[in-house]
Amino acid sequence: MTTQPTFLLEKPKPQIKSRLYNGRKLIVWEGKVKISSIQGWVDNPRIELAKKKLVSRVGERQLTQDEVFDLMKNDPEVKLKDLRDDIIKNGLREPLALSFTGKLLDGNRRFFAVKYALENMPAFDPNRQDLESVEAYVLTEDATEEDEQNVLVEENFSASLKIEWPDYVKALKVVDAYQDGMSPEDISKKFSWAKSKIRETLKIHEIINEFIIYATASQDQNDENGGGLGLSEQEAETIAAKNYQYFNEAQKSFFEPLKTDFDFKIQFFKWIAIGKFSSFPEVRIAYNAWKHPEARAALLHPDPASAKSAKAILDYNTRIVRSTDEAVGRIDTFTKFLREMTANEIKLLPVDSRQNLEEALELVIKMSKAAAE
Amino acid sequence: MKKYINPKLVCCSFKRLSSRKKTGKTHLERTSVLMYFLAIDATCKHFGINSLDLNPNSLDGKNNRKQVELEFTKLVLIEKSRESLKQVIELGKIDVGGTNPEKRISSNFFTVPLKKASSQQDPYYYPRRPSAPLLKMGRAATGKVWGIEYHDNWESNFPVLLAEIKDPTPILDLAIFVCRDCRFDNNASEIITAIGDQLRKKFTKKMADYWISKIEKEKIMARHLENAFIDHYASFVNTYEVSPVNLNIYEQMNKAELIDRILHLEAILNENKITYK
Repeated sequence: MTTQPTFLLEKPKPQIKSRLYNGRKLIVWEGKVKISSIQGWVDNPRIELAKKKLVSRVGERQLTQDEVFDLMKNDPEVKLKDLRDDIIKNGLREPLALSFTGKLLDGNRRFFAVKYALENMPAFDPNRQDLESVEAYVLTEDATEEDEQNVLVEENFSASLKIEWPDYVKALKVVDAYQDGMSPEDISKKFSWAKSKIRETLKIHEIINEFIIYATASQDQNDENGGGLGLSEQEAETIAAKNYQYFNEAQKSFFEPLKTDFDFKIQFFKWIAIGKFSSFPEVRIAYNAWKHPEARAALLHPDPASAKSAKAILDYNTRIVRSTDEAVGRIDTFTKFLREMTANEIKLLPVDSRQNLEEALELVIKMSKAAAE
Repeated sequence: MKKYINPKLVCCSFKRLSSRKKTGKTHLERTSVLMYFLAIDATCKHFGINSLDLNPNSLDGKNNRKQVELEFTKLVLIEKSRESLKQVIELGKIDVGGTNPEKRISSNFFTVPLKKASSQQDPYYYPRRPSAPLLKMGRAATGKVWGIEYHDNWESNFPVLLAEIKDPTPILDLAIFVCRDCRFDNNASEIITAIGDQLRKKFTKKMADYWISKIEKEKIMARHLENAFIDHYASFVNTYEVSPVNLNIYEQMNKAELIDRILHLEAILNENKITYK
């Protein structure tokens, strides 16, 4: 018989249930818990970047619940106000998930949204009582660290209506696991991601890592590329997080050139930093544009629409090549047809057709001679 | 008074030259190509020439072969004593034991691609995999049956052979590794310039110019160059720690990964001319 967690309220009587988390059946207590007895998750990766900014201001230390609460309220990515308003209107739709010791495993955003709602709710509001104690699932004392991990994965990596962690934050978790010595196979199991996605994530991170090194290097007029961008670690990381999917596009479209063409790599990083690209197709053509003198000149232009212009130049050239190839194919077929004709067959042709052919061939001979001169 | 590169830096740079992939033989093959290429260039520098004739039947050819073997050995040999041989077969890793380096190059590069090139009518470009040749060989390409020259595109192909490396300064790290045993003048204050001077001593002008120009670009990404020198020589092998192989990883591998791993291990055995079933 498992012990009832001390922080669960006696009414209604807590029940033991089994629930599936990331394919693993776990025994949980279902009951109510006072919001005031829960501690928010201060290490939540969702607000990693905002936390780093704050730590750079206040110094390296554990952040308090209030500081994290403030960060959650002010981080537009978290959309805490929207959730607060929804909870005020509809109540808490999904129970929180806690470890046996009361650690919040899932529902950090909901927990802070409830706190946010209570903050401004008058004491006499009849709905207040509904939010002061909320439903929760609590893992039993026998739950392992791996079980806790399964709850985290299910709630933050699986696609659902909730706001998942940003891609950049998820990627950091994958990279951490890899650096801890886990194989892509194990990471794949841990986060329920395909192995190919794990490998891609590691490659994206490799590019991002180089971007951050470059962006945080000092500017240097003696360097042929002007040195780095002189940004702080937080600034560089914020740009990287914002452009994560563009780095993903780069990984898919020109990973090897980024590793072998240093000048292109630096230029690509500069473009990312100044927000050169406004769509995936524009990123996709970056290396081809770099290799094409006209498209490269267009892309290097400071005009905000320069990536669009470079893509248009490449698209146009592709069309020209395609139509030239098409013309060559038609000529080959037609000349083969002509060569296989016998004099008798030509004799059988209507006069108009013969004249038409002779005129066309004379014209082609003249034009071809003129083009050769 | 002389000084030397800090073995901690050599070790760090050497480890940074590891492949991003933990399995497969691509990195090992590319390491061999790079080391043969650098050995040939160092030989050209030694004799003050631009191309080599490696004819096994001529005196010059034999001398050239001996010098290439010597240069290759200088590049890959880490430590040799009566008890043990430590050498580099794959950048980023030190292998213990196996075939002597001079034997490695003679039974591999001289016996396979060079020999093939000597009997081929068409120009022979090396390497073929990846398709990024650094050298051209054979009569059609060099005018000599056993001739070797630089491929016209070697400069643009060189970085392709380092593309498996995860860290962002492979050309600088390779230079630090190559110069690991060099003695530097005490007034050599800055590592990049000092390394450049050593490269000029070891390699041909065009190779050194190329290498230095690449290092100049890469240095912006280098964050590991502090305390670059020490005042006495110490081999980096003592700093290098071999990570123990976790046998569980084999149990977790799927069939494709296991095949990849076996190919990698077979390549090491082949490189060392060790017979196996």
